[in-house]
This record gives sequence, structure tokens and C-alpha cells, in this order.
Amino acid sequence: MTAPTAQSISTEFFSTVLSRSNPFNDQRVSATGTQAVDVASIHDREFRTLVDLAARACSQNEAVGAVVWGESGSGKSNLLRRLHDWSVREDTAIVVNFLELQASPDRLLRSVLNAVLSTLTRGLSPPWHRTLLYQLLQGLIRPAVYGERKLLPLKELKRVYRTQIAGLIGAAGETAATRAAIVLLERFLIAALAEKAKRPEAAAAVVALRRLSGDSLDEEEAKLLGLRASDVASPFDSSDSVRVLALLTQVAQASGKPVIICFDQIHTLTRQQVIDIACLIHTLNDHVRNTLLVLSEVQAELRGLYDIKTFSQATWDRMTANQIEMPRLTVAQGRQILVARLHEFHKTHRSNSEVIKLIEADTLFPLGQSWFEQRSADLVDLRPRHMLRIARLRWDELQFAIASAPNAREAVAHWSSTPDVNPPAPPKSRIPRLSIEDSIDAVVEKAFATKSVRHLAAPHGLPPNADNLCTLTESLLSSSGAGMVVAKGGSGSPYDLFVHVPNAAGAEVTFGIAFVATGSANSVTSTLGNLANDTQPPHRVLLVTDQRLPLAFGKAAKALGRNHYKTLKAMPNFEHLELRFKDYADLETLESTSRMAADLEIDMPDGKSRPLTRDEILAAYRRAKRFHQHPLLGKFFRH
Amino acid sequence: MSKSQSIAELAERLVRELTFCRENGVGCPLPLEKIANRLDPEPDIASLLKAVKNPAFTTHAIAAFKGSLTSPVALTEDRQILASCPLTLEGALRAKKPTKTGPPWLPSDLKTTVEKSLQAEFLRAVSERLASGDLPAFAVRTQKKKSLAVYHLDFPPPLNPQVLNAERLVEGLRSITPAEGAAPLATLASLASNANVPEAAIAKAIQEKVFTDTVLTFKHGSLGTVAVLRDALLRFATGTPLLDRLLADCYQANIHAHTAKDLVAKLPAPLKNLVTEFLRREDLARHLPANIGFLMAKATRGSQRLFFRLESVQHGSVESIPQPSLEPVTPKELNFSAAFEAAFERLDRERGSYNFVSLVDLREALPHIPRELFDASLQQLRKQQRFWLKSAEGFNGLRPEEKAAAIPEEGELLLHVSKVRP
Repeated sequence: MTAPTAQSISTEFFSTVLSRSNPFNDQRVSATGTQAVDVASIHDREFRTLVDLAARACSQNEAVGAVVWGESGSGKSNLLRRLHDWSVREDTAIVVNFLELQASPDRLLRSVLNAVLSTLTRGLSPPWHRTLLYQLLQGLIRPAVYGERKLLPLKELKRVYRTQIAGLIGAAGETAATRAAIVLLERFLIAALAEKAKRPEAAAAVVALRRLSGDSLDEEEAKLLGLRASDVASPFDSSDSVRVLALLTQVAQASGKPVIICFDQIHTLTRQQVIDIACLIHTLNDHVRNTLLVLSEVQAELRGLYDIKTFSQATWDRMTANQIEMPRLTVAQGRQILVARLHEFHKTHRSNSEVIKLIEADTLFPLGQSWFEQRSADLVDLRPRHMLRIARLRWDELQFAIASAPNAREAVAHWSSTPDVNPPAPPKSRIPRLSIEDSIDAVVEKAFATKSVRHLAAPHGLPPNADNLCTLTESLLSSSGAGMVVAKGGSGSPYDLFVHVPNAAGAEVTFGIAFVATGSANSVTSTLGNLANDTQPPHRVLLVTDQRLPLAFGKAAKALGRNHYKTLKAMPNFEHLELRFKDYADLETLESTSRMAADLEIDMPDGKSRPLTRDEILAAYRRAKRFHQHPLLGKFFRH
Repeated sequence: MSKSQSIAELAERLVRELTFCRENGVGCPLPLEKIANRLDPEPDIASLLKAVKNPAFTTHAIAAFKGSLTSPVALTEDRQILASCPLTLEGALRAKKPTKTGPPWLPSDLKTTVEKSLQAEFLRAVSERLASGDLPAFAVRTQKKKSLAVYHLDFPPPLNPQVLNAERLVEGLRSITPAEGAAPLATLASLASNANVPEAAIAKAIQEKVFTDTVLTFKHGSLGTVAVLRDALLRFATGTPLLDRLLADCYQANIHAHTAKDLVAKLPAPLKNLVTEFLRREDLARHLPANIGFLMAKATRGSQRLFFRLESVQHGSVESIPQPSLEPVTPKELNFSAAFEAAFERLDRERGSYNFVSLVDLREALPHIPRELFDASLQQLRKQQRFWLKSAEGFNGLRPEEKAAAIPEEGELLLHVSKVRP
């Protein structure tokens, strides 16, 4: 078939549409636009292996460890995203992408429990009878309900539930925490059913979930659930958390759904944090069943950490019990990625019949098949990210050819004179290159935006967590380069964090920050009381809460917590900052983007690419005033 | 947490670790200390030994020996494997102290060393091993009266007196310091006297293998039986002075090359045998003095070696015609593929079989292959989709030898090799 010329394509197409965007700008395949571009046949074997391992975890009711490793840019994160999409589409597994990698070691297990519960309940959001947790409980009960009965009397429901869940205790381990969790799940189930029937008892659901996720409850809340206040006055410790997790995974197993917990790239954490995460995986591997624990990591980095004895042999063996290697792509597979990306781009021009003809003649239009053949002639294999980079540079060249022509119409004419729809590329030296700083800013901006979009699309991935908020704030302020001294409050201190900020006068302003993200009125009252009764407060006192969990004072109008809050509000140096979810997500995005430095690459003037460093990303944040603009971080910068 | 709780928790951790090792083929049964080494934090010895007695451990697992860190341990369902594993046999052999009755030990002697509940299986397993001869390298099967018995290589049965006497004679001969260039010689009578070997025991002692393997004896008219160390005599017999002397003795104006038979004709018997044996060696060229050579000449049946001094060789004086240069060695001739694959497999195994080997190690393993040839041949293997190259992560972190070994491609340095699995 003879390739049609492009004479009749409107000038506007080339001069505006083509030069306005570059579909290859996003390096990470998972972050293209609002919908991921994926080629299912690529890394299909690796994907199937993960699916099989998850099935094995479920059928044999055991914990299975797996490491997905390969080069940076080899598609590891995309594989995990594909796994997540598969679990949602097929409704066959529960995939949890564990993000709170920097939580303190004694909070890590609780954070995992939080993340799992958050996934099962869409971030602890009603309607409860539409949550995955409700479905799992229904799945547990259903086999014991004979015939077509849809509604059971409450007494019968409780009997069936208790009989069914008793069968799980052997595998989950019988402990006080497990027994308590069984009661809480029953309360949740009954509350969710009440909600479905539009009865008022539904309020118990969120309280039961809060306790299940490890929060302490006050007397009123305990009463609401029919529990003794003394039994729920303390938050879960690591041991309780892992027992509850073990029970939840067994509930999921009853419905034939494995739980998959993913840990994506840990080498960018501090050495101690890497050790903590490895220990976490080890503990989970030993205590929970029906669970696939997936660590995704750059192979050379993980191997390097092993070589310097970061992990005990036992931990290493568990993490790498199953190894999934991300292979490089063949040239043909690289082409498939380009075609998939272009396909998305072409969709927006389906109304232009001339464009359709050109696409039919050359699926790589406007990059061009002949360009591809020439460019890939010496390639044996390549990383997906490298394929995208090559295409991005080619697109840049096309844009320049159009922009530098005396007028767009001439460019079109020139384009059409080449029968293979392959416009001559301008000399590389003539292509305007961004300064290195600009390139870094552009790459960081895109990575930040991509992650941010993902968080906003799935808020349950970041459930309210005061500990994580504190860790993120500490890490970002410490590395902000603004000369602040950040220190943890220590046990017994009313403050979680102290921030010493130098001011223009050469003096220092000290902030004491308390983070609160709990629905427990007792905990809130205790924290506020400690702040209000501090006889030597710092210059500024900041109370930070999550908008999704407003301060709980209890029902009484004269509740002690409310009084403390009033006292604090009257103090001139006190401020209460309620973070919106976006603000919290931005903190996580700032931190995680800076940690994925080695995963972000910029094009250098010599035509090569190189990975960024964390310092370069933090400098880009400063240039973009990201610290200043954040509602929490900005408070310290504006001083 | 109380002490008893912490011991119970440690016992649980040991069982978990044991379960993991079993399920993941780490190697099971393992010695108790190896299991403990895998724990983080590692327990102290006292707690460890208490933990294996704790019901939390004994309900699920079993240690072959009480109170021993090296005791192999296994889950109770693997008791058969534990009873028959080499670690248990070795532990039992080491646990037995020498007595009048052993070593060697009968299986029934060994059974009492292991944990009571394991004794029946252990007895059966050791008996089966002895009957079939399937014994680990450290164990030696022997006959004890009419029964089969076993002993540890490190703890053999006491030697019989004849062997002891033979060893003393050999030791005595070794302790003689001869004059430079000479072999240590001694009469058997003087040797026996110095080594406190009774005269009546000499005849039997010199028939022991330990003596005949090491010493040669020959009769001397006036001295009686003379002993000489085989290796010392061999050094003497194959050294330049003797061979030179033999060639000189045979030399005639028109005959410069001689057979081995001619050379040794006048030597005394033990020396004659020794030199003949030496001159027949396959790898003789590597051991012959530098001034002596040999060539293969036609014989009545096949060929024979003719020995000569190099100085006797007559050679031409016309310069040889220059030979055309050799063709470069091709990958095929070198069989790069096989050599590379073997080196990769070995290095990967050494590093834990993670299918991840550095080019630094591979180049070191194949030093005879020039760089250009190595890279070109490896490129072929990549094109055949037999191996992948992977980029080095983070240029800053590379050592100079890694930078040197890596292959630059498309702006990155390819440093690690992985095999494409089918």
C-alpha cells in the first residue's frame, strides 16, 4: 500500500496539536494521562507468575514471599499496577500497595493493618454494605446458609457468623486480639446490615473499624460496641496488629481471595528503615497466611544491600523465596509500547480522515516506521523507559522541525514531500535544549503530578495516620535545606516534633507540633490536656489533624477535651491546622518523589540521560516553592 | 515479658524458622546453631538450649541430641529424615568416647547417644546405611567380628602393633638427614634399633602397606638389608647427575641416542625398576632435566623412546622460511559460548544462584579471551536471546574495575549478565 501524502492534513494539526504535547513525556508507563497505557503481552509471564503465587498463597493458605527485580525503568512498578488493576477487574484478590514505608518500627505492623483495612473499606468510608470487608464477611457466612434465604434473623446471623469464624481461628491463631477482632467484625457486619436497612445502629460500624485498625476507644464508643472500656482503652501494639491481620487474611481466604501486599522500592530509604521494612516482611511472612508479600526492587541495589549484610539470612530467604526477574524488551516489544502510546494519541484525531489514512499506512505515524527501523538497527534489547526516551527525543525533533520552519504551511509541504511520512530531522545541535535545571524541574513536576493524581484517585491508600504525618513532616523539613533543626519530641513530651527555625533577626523560633489522627475522645483529650498544661511551651504550638478524622471530644457538652481545646484556642501562640487529604497526599508525594530520584532521568546536552539525585529533586521543590506553598510546611518557611 | 515467656517465644521462633527452612529448601535438618544464626536478634546460648526443651518447641520439633548446639533439629513430621541424616550419624559418632569395645561401633552402640524418642528410627537408619554401604564421607564401614560396624574418619580404631612398628620405621628413615644430593639410606637393623622395634617384629612390620608404599629395600653384601625412601630415591634417580651419567656410560662415537633398557642395564634392581618406571611416564617431558631430551623412534612393535643429550643433536643452519601469520581465533574455535556459559553458571552458583553475574567476574574467569572478541561474542549470545545485559545502577557508585569491565551502549553502562530462562 502506498503511503498517502499529508498534503491535505490541516496545518493546524502539525503546528498546534503535534507541538502541543508529547505522548512520550511520561517515563513511567503507569502514569500516562488519566488511564494507564499498557501492553499486556509484555511481561505477561512475570504477571502470570505473580498471579500464580497469589493463587498458591490462597489455595495452600500460606504466606508467600516474592521479589520482583530488574533494572530501573524495566517495568517493575507497572507490573504491580497491572496486578492491582487485575485484582479490581477480576475481583479475585485484595491488593494493598503499602506506602507508609517510613513509619516508625513499632508502628509498621499497625500501618500495614491500617492499609489493609483502608483498602477493604475504601478508606473507612460508608456505605459499609458496599465495602469489600462486608462482601468478605458475607462470603464467610453464605456457605452455611441453606437454600435461597436472603435475610436471616439477627440471632441466626450471629450464630452462623460465630460458627463460621470459629473455623478460621486455628489458622489465624487464638489470642485475645483475635477474639476481640472476631467480636468487632461481628459488630461491623451487624452495623452494615443496619445501614443497608436504613436503621440507626449503623454508627457502630466506623467505631468497630477504628478499633480493628488499632485505635483506642473511649467509654462511650466501647459502650456503643457493647465492649468493656478497659478492654479497648489502649491502642494495638505490633503483636495485636499482626494477629488481627492474620484473622483478616483468613476471612479473605474463606472467600477464596488472597491478600497481596506490595512494597515498592526500599533502597532509597535510610539503612535502618530498610532493615525495619525487611523485618516487617519477615514478621508478616511468619504470622499471616493467604498472603503474597511482594517486594519490588532494583536488582543491583537489593543485591548490594544483601552483600553488606543489611538483612539476616532468614529475612533474605523469605524476601527472595520466589524471584521474578524483569527481562529487557526485544526491539519488537519496544515497538509495541510505542504503538500503544501512539494509539492513545491517535484516538483524539479520529475525526481527521487524512490522519486516519496516515495511521493506516504507518502505525508509528508521526514518528515513522523508517525512523524506527533506522534507530533500532543496532539495538539488541532495551528497557521500556529507554524506548520511551528515544521516542520522546524523536518527537522533540519533529516539533522543532515544525516550529523552526518559516511557516507551518511550509513545514506541512515539506512533510508531504517525503513518501515514507518521515520528515527530515534537524541537526541535533539545532534542537533547543532546556537548561539542566529546567529539565530537572520538568521531570520532577511530571513525577509529582503523576503521583498526586494517583493518590487523589485512591485516597484509601493513605488512611489517616498521625505517625506517618509526623515522619513525613520530619523528613521533609530536615532535608528542605532551609537550615531548620528538627527533632522528635520523645516519650513524655506533649509534642511529637520540635522544629527550630532561624529567623531573619538571627534568632530562632521553636515550634512544638502535635499530630492527632484518631477518633478516640480519650486520646484526643489526653493530647490536648498535655498541650494545655505544658508550663514551658515553645514559641509556637501547632496542632495538626486530618480533615477526615475531626477532633473527637465526646458527646458531652462539657467534655474535658473540649475545655482543653478552648484553653488552647485562647492562647496566642496556638494554632490548629486541619489538613485536607490533598495536603496529606502532597506530603507523601513530596517525600516519595524525592526518594525515587534514581528512577527519574533527565536528558543531558550530550544526548545521554542520567538519573537524578535526591538533592536535585529537593532543589527543584525549592525552586517551585513547593515547601512554601504547602499549608503545613509553609508555616516554617514563612518565618 | 517474663523469662519463661521469652523462652517460649524463642521456642516458637525456632519452630517458625525451621518450618520456613523446610518449605523453602534451605536445608533441613539443620544444626541448632545454624537455625539460631538465622534469627534476628540471635539468641544467647543458654536461652537457646532452654528453648529446645520448652514444650513450644518439643510439641512441633525434635533435636537429635540433648544440650548440644550442633545437634541437628527437625520438625516432628520429619523425624525419619532426622534419624537418617548424616548430621545425626556424625553427631552420634562424635558423641561416643573411645572404650575397649570401640571404635568401631555397632549401630546398637550408637543408638544410645540420640534422643530417646528417635532411637528406634536411628537404629534402623544406620543399619540400613551399613548394609547398603551408603555412608557419608566421614564414616568408614568395617567388620567387627561377624557384624558390620562404623567409625568416624577422625576417630579411627586403634592401630595394630605391626602397623605401628611399620610407621615407626618409616618415621625413623624420614628423620635421617643425608649429605647434600644423596638419598637417606639406613640399614634395617639400625632403623629398628633407633625406632625401638623388636628384631622379631621387623619381618612383619616391613610387609605392612604403610612401609611398602614409602620405602624400598635391597640387599647389600656386607650391610645386609638397606632401606631407602621411595620419593628420595626417585628424586635421585631422575636427577641430572644420574641420567647424565647413564647417558655418558652408554655413549659411543656413532651412537648418541639410547633406549631406557640400555640406560638402566647396569643399575641395581630397585633403582633399575624405579628409573625404568620414571622413563616410561606419560608426562616425562615435564620432569626430565633440561639438558636431556627424547624422541619417539620405530621399534619392532610400535615405537620406543630414544634418550639423548641435547648437545648431541645435529641441526641445520639455514634460516627457516617465514610462516604466514595465523588467522585470528574465531569465537567458534574458542567455543566462547560453552566457556562463557560454564563460567556464568559457576559464578552464579557461587553468588547464590540469583541469575545475576558481573562482567568484572566473567572477564576475570575468561582471561584468555581478548576484550574485543569477548564483547563481540557476547553480543552474539544476546542476539540469540541466550543472555541479557543489564545496566549498572548509578554511575557514581561504580568501582574503577566495574567501569572498565562494563559495555557502553545507548548512553548507559551494561555491567551485569543474566541468562535468559526458557
